[in-house]
Amino acid sequence: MATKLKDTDVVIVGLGAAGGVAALPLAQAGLEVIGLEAGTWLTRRDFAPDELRNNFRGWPQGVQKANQEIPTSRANASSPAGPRGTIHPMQNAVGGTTLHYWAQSWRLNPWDFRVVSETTRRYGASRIPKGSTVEDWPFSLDELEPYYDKVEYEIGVSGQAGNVGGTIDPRGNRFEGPRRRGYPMPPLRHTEFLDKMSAAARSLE
Amino acid sequence: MTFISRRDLLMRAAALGAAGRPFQGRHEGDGGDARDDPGDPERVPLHELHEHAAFAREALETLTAAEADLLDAIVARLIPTDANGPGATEARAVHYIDRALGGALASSRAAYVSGLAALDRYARSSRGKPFTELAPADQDAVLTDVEKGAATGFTGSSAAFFALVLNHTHQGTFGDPYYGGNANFVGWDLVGYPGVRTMVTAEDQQKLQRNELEPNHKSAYDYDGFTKSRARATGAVPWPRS
Repeated sequence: MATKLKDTDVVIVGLGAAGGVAALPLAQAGLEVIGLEAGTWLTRRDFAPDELRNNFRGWPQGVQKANQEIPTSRANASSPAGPRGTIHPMQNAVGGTTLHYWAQSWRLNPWDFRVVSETTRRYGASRIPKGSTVEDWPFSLDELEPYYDKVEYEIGVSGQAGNVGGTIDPRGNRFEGPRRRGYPMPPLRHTEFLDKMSAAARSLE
Repeated sequence: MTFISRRDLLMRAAALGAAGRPFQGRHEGDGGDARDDPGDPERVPLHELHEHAAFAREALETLTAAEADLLDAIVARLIPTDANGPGATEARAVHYIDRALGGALASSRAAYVSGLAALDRYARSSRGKPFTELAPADQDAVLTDVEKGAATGFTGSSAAFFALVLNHTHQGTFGDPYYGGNANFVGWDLVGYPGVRTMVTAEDQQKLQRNELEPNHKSAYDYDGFTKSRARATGAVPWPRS
């Protein structure tokens, strides 16, 4: 029989990147917030750098809900159902997949908000497939920028800015949209691999 | 066959456990491999080597002794012990597979039963001997047929069985030693992986790039912070709810 719980102001269903981030400003505004999350509580101790468990065995502790929901999978309707793929990049937990975000979170680029008009301008209207539901967004990156900034400083994002207020910094991504200030956390030390990738990418300019 | 040779054999097996020395001694630099020289009074016939290998093996949890013998011979060709250093034999890839088939890889158990039997039948029919008694070159020829899907007598394609065993051999040789393979970190040493670290300084990184970083021989679970039992013991909620 259903149990009638005490009324609350807000119920957040799912405490991942969206719901989890929404909880703080709502609570700070004085509202009573209840969060529902199908996953479990994970702690730092659950994040062992264990390739067999995490990459080959699908990190069973981290995707308990998905494991129950996707018991089998198949490539197409005529192939036999087999065990679901073990590589599962999402996490079911309080915090969701942001639990292993590595201090990385990418903003959309200005172009992403104008996919239809930019594709048409550059390549012609024929490059939009017939029947495609793709649309331009009803607003631009500029409108979202203050919120990106707020979340980046709240959760802690690391990186090298490439465009602060229209000033291009060649150490960062020069194609990103203008941001009001740099990242709250400095970029990570480069690896040899990253140096090679950076050099290769710059040579394309 | 002398008492000394048996003792030497057991010492080699013990050394394998302690320091990951190559069991078959092909590059031990201590006078060469006794079994390669028929004139050596301490020469150990190949079949005795197999008997003692079985003696030194960890307790089997899933595979039969015969299956484990055959699998040991297979993985020894997939990642051989050679001039590059120890291989899947020393890493105890078979110990990993044996344990995993009783747990995380249980769905592959049936494939091993039928695949190993089919592989041995194919060795006998195509080369006239059980796989474990073939010379390495003949073993490789059998495995190449299995890899190409050209070996007969398998349920489905032999290539699928080959891919399965190769994948698990990689896991058992290069995976975290916590799971019973990569014994004495020989797999990580083989590929130059310096061990699990929770912090890498700029100096460590520069050494790694010059191949000068000393391996720390640590599993993820050598760090208290990642011990699964401790994580469980504290309960599900990491901090008290108000």
